[in-house]
Amino acid sequence: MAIMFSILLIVVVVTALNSIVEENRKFIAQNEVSVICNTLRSSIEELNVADYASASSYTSTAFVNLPQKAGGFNYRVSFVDSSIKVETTSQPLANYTCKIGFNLTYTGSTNGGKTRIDFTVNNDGSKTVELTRG
Amino acid sequence: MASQIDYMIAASIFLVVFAFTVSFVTNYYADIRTTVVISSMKSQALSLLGIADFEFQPNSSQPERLGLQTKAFRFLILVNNTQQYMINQSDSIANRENEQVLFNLTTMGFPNSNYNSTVIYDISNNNMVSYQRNADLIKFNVSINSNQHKFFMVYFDDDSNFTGSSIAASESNNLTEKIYPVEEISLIQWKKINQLVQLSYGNVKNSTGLQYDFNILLTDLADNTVLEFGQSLPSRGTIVSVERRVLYQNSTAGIGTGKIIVRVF
Repeated sequence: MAIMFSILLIVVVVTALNSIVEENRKFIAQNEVSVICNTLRSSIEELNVADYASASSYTSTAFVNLPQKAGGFNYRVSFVDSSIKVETTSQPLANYTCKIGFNLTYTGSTNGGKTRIDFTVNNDGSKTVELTRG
Repeated sequence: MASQIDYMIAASIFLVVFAFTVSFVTNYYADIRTTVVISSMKSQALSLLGIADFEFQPNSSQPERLGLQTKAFRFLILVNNTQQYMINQSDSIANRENEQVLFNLTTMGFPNSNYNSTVIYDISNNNMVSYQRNADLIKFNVSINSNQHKFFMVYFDDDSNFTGSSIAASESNNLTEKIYPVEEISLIQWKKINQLVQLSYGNVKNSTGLQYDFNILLTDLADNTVLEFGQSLPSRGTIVSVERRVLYQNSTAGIGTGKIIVRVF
């Protein structure tokens, strides 16, 4: 009887705390992915502001130290059209898309950590942004 | 053998410890939540502050990004009432009430400028100077004493939409003016301010995909409002506010220094 009672109490404790922790991890992950998204967007904006006229193509590079995990979850950053999409790769899913809005060519992806952004201005004036794990 | 009282004591102790633990964990995560939300709002606010660095998407009622920036140009003119600047070196120096200064934006390399956007400031008092404009040719008068020199700053834009004003300038031209090289500057354009305020806040928030509500305020240095766009500030709650100095163009093409304040909530 005493053992059953103890097990019941332990189950109650574990369930309650687990629920609180999970709910908050999801909340934090959702906000962290938005911070990651805004950080990358600001970095790309800074590189785009700094362009100058040139007869030959050139590349500006920035390194951004992104968190390894968002709210304790692995995540992946990729481009969708002219937007950055950040989403966790395991349940519960948290994702955020921030629009860059520049008419550029976007390639590459990263999954956190030290990230390299290459901003290339081509001879014809077109611009390319490449994201890689650096 | 444990009695019923022992169970009740054990259960009571458990409930107290459990309540304490839940309370502690909840408060702990509430603090983290607040910090994370502020961090997220701050990142949006800093991102929005770039409004002074970027242009609108052309003709878009639902822009993917907000921007008010435009490129404009400026150059200095030196009017020096000394002997070496006399056009006719045999003339003597004298006080001049209406010395004519003229310049031509086309011959200076800016044939497609919006000539009506031209504004001229007397640097000594920062007053705007009236001028006469005939297409790309601009003339204005200067009152200058003998052996005195004055600097004038001329601003003009290449894609604004001001209507012109022109005041006749006299033809008395006795001095050679020195015109300094034209430099490009970034400023917040009046036309773009008007474009922004005509947009629907709800549409803009949706099209830019911004997470939090925001308010953008542009004021002059005396805190007079030049532009306000966005939601009214809430009476309570967390508000992240960031600001920076900017150059802006007012309704008469005048150039002023102001500050842009972005608040996210």
